[in-house]
Amino acid sequence: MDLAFNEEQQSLKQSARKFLEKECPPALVRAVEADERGFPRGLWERMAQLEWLGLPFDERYGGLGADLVTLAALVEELGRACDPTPYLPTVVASGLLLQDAASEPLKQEILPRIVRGEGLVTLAVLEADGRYAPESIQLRAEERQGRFVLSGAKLFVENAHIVDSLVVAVRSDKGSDPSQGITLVLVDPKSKGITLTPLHSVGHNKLFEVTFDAVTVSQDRIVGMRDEAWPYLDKAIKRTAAIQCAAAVGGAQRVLEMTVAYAKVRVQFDKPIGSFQAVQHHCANMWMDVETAWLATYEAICQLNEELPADEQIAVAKAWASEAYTRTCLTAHQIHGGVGFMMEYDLQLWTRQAKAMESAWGTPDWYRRQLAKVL
Amino acid sequence: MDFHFTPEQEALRRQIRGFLDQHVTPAHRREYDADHTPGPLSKALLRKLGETGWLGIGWPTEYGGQGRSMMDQVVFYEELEKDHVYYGDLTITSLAMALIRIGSEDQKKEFLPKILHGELSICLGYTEPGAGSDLASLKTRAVRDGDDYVLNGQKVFTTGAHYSSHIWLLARTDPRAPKHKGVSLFLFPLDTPGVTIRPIYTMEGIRTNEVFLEDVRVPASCMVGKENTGFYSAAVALDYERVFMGQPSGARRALDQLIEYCKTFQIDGRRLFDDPVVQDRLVRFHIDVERLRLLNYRVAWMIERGLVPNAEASAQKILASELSQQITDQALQFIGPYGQLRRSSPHAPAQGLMLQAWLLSVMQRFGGGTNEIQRDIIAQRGLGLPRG
Repeated sequence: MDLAFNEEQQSLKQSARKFLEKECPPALVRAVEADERGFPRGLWERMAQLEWLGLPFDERYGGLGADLVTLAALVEELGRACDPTPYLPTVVASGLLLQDAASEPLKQEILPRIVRGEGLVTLAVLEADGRYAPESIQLRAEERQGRFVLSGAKLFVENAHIVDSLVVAVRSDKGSDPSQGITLVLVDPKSKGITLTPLHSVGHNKLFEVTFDAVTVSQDRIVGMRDEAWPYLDKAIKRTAAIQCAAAVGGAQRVLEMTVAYAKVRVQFDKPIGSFQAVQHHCANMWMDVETAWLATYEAICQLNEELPADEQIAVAKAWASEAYTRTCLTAHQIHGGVGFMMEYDLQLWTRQAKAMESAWGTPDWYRRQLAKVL
Repeated sequence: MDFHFTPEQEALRRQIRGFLDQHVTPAHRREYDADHTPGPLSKALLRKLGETGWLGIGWPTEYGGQGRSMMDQVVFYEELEKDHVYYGDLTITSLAMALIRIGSEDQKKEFLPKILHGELSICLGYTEPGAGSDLASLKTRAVRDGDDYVLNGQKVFTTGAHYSSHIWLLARTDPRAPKHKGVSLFLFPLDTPGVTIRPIYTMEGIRTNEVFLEDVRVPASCMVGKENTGFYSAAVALDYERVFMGQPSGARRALDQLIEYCKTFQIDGRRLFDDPVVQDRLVRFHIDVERLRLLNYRVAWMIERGLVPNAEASAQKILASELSQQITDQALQFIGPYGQLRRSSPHAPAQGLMLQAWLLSVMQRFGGGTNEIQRDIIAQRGLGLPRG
């Protein structure tokens, strides 16, 4: 039993935290959110130089071959900084999925570019019902003259407007088992027939509805085996959910620290409000929520890392950590009062992001329902 | 980073499980569940446990212990708690270790072998009618007289006084010192003249006690640690209690029983478990039980690393007690009108144990340090917020 980061991971966290304090302050988060394009290119390039973009990828693609715990340690710091970069959708979600599922030529084409900071990719999975279930993937892929023709729509696609490639989950065959007949295809968002409609999230991520009107895709853009993509996609969704929990924990810890700091200096009735028992108990409850979120998150990530069955642990982690992050933010607002409610104050950056993250990669209820099946 | 026990620890777990499966019978559980008082079966089981050496699992080997790590102890208590039998509680979990840390060599020689063999039970004499959370305001007085101390006063909620042989008691030796600095710790037999024990029956139906001390004369050698260091000694004992207060296996056991019940109880061929509302509640409890298990590991791991888990241990106690109440409360609801039936009643489900656990949970939220103060500890010692 060893419930701490190793020296290398601690060192990565420390240097990441210092770097992000300087290079990813709340002002940057605001600027990225306000900007229509919303891509912090300078920061992304520096992250490439730090080799963060290649952290979990195999060395043959220019990566560092780091394990999932190390990746989570970095993502925890990114979450703490309310990171507005495409790290999670590009590196964690799509990048690792491609590394698992794509052919060697495709991997050689795409992964080194991601690692160098020269390419962005994003996953397009969700459709109208907003669920990460195989039966929810209905976007049609018909085979015509040796090519795929895509028709339908994807929702909540992060950064569709700036990526070089969408990794789209399509239904290439319909049978009695919905998890059969799903294919992943790489699609250039600038292809003919694609329309991007910006969605406006409460969080800072740029999300899009992507409609496909008879979009043709050549067969060499298929990722892995036709019709057989679901197991890889399922694994990627769960892995991303688990890693995102680290971001949630990082963000929640930052919010707790902000709140404790505020409670120590805000004086009412001639005393710092942090000396009032009700305020102390709120903080204690937040601390308990966040500490147990960390533990559940890293137990899940260790299971994944050791390639042991992890569905149960991931479900516990995502269900708990997502809600813990939101709840921590809401309680933080309770303690901050009016000042925390202003846009001018930074707390709302985390709160809005927390709520958006709650439903990303599966809602808490979704994961609780999965858990019921294993009880 | 690693969330697993070692192969050696899993082997230890199998050994302990084997012993318990062999020696613990439903009769043991019934006897202990009835009133949480160790009867003849429980006492015999404790002596049998004593033969294994496991009662000294964490003690240094020079005192007859096994010198095992905190994580090994977690394994031991995880298995013990699954069976919910009497295993000496505080005596073996913390008082023995506190004696090893601060007791005199004579005290160690007198008490440790008997504790190790499961032949001794010590009850805790801290709380008084006027001193609960504010323990420092205790009034029981100990006055030096020659080679003895003479004790006068009263303790309340002295659980176990009616079956223990000795009491571990805090008394004021210097009324002029600041409250928490004028207190000393004594360890002496309950059959000392002047000691009167009276029962208090609680809402749970279990007996605790009042202990009256009237001119109780004990040799000065009964003092544990130096004079006026009693609070420090109590803190040392508490340090060793941290891993065990709010041990998670009880919550896991309660939840597993509830899940089993929901899977068996049927109305019109439909199990309670098939109701999505029921499933959601059970899943949420499962998440909480898992959080508690992980928190317990963190407390133990920190102690192994030489860190003091003030906030973590408080969190463990809070979580365990509140979860226990929530699970039992919900369980009684699921069981419907049968839930209200006591063990003596016809049709009482599972000997009315869930009801009893619910009643006990009332005490667990304030006993062993109220949850409000535990939250204060997290806020003040953990987060550095200022005292009120």
